[in-house]
Amino acid sequence: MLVARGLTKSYGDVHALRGADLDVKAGQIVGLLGRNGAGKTTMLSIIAGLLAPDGGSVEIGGIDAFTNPRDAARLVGIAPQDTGIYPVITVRENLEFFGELAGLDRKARSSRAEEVAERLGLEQLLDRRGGKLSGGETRRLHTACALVHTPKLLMLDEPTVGADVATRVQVIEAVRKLAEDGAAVVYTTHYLQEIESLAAEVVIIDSGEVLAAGSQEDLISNHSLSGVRFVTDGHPPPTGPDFEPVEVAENTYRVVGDLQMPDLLARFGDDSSHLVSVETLRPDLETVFLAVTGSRLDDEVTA
Amino acid sequence: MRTTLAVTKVQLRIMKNDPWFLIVMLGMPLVVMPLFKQTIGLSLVANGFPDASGAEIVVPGQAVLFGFFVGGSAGFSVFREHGWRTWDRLRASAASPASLLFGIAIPWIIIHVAYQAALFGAGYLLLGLRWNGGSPIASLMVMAGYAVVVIGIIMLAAATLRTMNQMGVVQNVGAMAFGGLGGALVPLEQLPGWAEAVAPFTPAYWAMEGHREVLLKSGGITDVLGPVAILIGSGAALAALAARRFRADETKEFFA
Repeated sequence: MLVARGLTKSYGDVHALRGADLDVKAGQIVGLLGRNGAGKTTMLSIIAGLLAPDGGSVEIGGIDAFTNPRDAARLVGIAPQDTGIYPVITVRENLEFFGELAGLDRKARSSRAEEVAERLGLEQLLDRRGGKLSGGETRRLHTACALVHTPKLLMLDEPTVGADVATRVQVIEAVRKLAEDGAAVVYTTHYLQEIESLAAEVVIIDSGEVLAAGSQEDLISNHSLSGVRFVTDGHPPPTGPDFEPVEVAENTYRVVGDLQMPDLLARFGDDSSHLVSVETLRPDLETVFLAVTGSRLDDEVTA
Repeated sequence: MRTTLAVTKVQLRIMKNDPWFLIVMLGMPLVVMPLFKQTIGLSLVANGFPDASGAEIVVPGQAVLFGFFVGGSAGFSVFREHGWRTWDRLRASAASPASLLFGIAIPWIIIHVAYQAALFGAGYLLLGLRWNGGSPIASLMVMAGYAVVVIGIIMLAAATLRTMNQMGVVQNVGAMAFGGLGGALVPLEQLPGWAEAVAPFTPAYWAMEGHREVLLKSGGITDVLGPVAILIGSGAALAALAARRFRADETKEFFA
């Protein structure tokens, strides 16, 4: 459904995307993982036609999105990172408007508005103005507006950021259902549990490059690592031939390998009082990300 | 066309749900009109219109003056889409940039005509405005022409400017400068010579010319064709320029 090839985009000297590829099949959910500034939003913006790339190609449902942007746009639903709804009209009017904009007739947009409202727990709020919704409800309406025309390709850019637990559950369920119905979904998030619960394929992007892609099982078996991560009070950690801590943030170190907490304490010896915290790294998506990018997902990108 | 209609409908819904600006814009001229009616009436009598009451200038004059303020809101609608973060959603739809621009402009043309007509209606009921053989249809044509040119100016400004404050400056300065120079505040006969020379370059002048033809000279449809053609022609040219200048991916600051 989506084939993006060699996407590049620069802002002056800053390379936001460096030849990134992305493939999503119908019915597939792809979790796009990357730190802030890694290039996720740039990639989604280019695919949605919101941003002109410097190079590359995008095909949506077999349509070249750069030469036929209007035809491609009809297949796409996007919920950008910032919530965008009309606060002075009702939930129903918001949903029906975006349905109408996508070409649904009166009957279809009315029934679809009720369907997606129910799917996202907004059915009791259909006649409430957008501006009177809570933060979580606003986020759900924002997502619902992207679903209302049953897009073939749905792109959600951090749809649950700042959302309550109920909202997260409802958004994830709605996304899963849409994928079951055959839509291709690109989902960006900082919450790895969401990717796990969606059983999504994973694409890891960093500094504008796709570094790894595949199923969660494959990535964990190919890339995951174990080890420890620890924070000191500023005291440098000991080093040795089989103990080489890498500083990943200020006073924060990582050591990979078959290492347990007692081993770490033994390495520090009398200096163990300088340890502020210790975390065991287990093979999971978090450590896959760490192994592939050298950073944690919640680390900020430094220019 | 379909997407333009969808955007037009949502704009009208937004205005229906948040009508306070229009209510204030209707109330203010109704306060101003009676204050100027007598003075302007005396001026018209002195300038060869012995039966004039003053309503023949003060009502269309205030409609023209405040009409520019009302039209300015069309520009704010563009900025508001950025403030509400709905602009990117519109852009990501199958709508072309021009259809988005016209979708926002068209409801404001409708509202602008309705606004002017409402002030004329209030002038009829409260200030004794009479057509005296002139054609109300011709008045409506002038109102439509003025609406088109004002919205054209505002859309070109919205396509060009980057911040809401800049838009506000165009709205305020445009209303006062065009209104003052175009004979909407005081009859043209009372303007200094240099202003009379400049007046034809303002849309207010042509709107007032049309209204004077109808209300002071009992003019009909054919008598206003000239001013209406100039208004609509200029408006269409400005709208085309706005569509050409408009870049949907340009960032606009709602709060700056």
